[in-house]
Amino acid sequence: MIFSTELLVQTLLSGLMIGVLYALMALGITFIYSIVKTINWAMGEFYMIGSYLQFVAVHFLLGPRWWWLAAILSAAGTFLIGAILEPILIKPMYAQPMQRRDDYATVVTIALLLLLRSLAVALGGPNQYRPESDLPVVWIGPLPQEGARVAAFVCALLALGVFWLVIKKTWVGLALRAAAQNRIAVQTSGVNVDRLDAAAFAIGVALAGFAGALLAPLFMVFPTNGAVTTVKGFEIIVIGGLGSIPGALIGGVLLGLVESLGAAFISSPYQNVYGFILVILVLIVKPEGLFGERGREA
Amino acid sequence: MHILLQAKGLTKRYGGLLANDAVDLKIAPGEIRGLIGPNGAGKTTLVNLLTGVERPDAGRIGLGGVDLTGLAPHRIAALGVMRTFQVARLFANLSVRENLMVAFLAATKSARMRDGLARADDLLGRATLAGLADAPAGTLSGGQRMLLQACAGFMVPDVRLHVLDEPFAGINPVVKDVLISLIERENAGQARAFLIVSHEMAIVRRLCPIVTVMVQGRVAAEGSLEEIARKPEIVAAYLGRAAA
Repeated sequence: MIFSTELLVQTLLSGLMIGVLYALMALGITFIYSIVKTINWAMGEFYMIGSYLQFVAVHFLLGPRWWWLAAILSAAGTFLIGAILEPILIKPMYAQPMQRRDDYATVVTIALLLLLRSLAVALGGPNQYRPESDLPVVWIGPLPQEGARVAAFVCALLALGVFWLVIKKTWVGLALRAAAQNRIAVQTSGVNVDRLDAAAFAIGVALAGFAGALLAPLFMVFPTNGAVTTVKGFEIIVIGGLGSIPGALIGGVLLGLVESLGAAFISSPYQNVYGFILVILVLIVKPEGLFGERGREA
Repeated sequence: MHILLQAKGLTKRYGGLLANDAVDLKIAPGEIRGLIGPNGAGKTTLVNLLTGVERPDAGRIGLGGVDLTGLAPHRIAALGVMRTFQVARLFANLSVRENLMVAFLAATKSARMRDGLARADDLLGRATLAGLADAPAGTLSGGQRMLLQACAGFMVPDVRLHVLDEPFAGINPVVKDVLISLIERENAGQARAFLIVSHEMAIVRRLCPIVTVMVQGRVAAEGSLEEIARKPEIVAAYLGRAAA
């Protein structure tokens, strides 16, 4: 392997770009967990839904020119599906006293994962699709970057910005942050926590759906395309700490960089292994994750 | 007597323990009612039933003619009942000011953000927390947390009943005085009624013309603190049979 500055910068750039997309996934997982106290194992399937919606919107309805509008619609569609599913699947967890909420949530969301994958096979067949993308190559200095990748990166950054604004500046955002701190107190303050749960779940899966839509031209559209991203999402959660938003963002970028550096300078077939090495290192040094808090609220 | 809150036959059982046994309670509008009793008498259970945090096994709760029985906590809050918790339940990572805004915005649907911020600063000044407005609530002392919890309720317009569960327990005398004057002010100015659970008899005597005594899940007596202190069975419940 010949070392060169160009290669290093190119590697860092592509690591950063994919890292921000990973961060979007991880943010969705951690955000849902912090409000609904549930790990959504079907997160990758919402990524998958987002990618299918993007394909349908670009290929059949809008054309590649309107890829960005398609991505927004795909995120909105995923949001809607999340908002409809949460009250049906997750809410019963809180409706009656339940001994093992975590187990319930695990079983329900894994069942959902299987259902959604099978549904994708039933509707689209076991095929790979790719929404057309006519975005030109972007030159960063002397370095060519795939247009769709740069577009995905920029849109992911925008999505993170919108998320931050909603959480920090709006009344719903304040209520969501309060609910993450104390579910009982937010209810006795007069907030309908059922609606917050549905909103949090819908926002979380919409982040995954948006990532799926943005990455569809790069990573293809097929029934199990969410599996890898789910795994990456959970790697990031372990790295950054469950329930931590900065942890999800920094963990995502870190994972992107480590994978990309490892692939470029060590060996590319093992790209997916480097993330796990990072996970193991974090578990040894700081088992609660970089930004995680030790222990969990009862 | 005009009645604001009326609870009838409230019963709550935890396994073999009858925590509330057919509790009746009537509170008049604008009244400050004391709720006393030995530990384990069921005071906090009653508070939880009244505020919807737990559901009664039997009995009914009404507020100004509206049936609260079985309603979710946020519905009861919206109907004008705010509470504090014995172990303060705050939003630890939110700032002190943001803590105040949650209940306010829940009640006003964010239409009056500016009013809310003005009200928050006014209350924080009275509560001697003005300097801490931007600090995370998790950094407050025990007494300051109690003040903040109570103030969060005072933020909300049109509250008819504040339920405070042991607001004076384990807090320093200066903070106690601040809280007492806040309660007196909210009560006098806006005719908000209070139900205050406390073991601090000096404060109960000062604030509460009528006191309800609970013993072993039941209402054992009701009246002024002086009347109650003359009843041997109440004294016995507090101090043990041998002392009676």
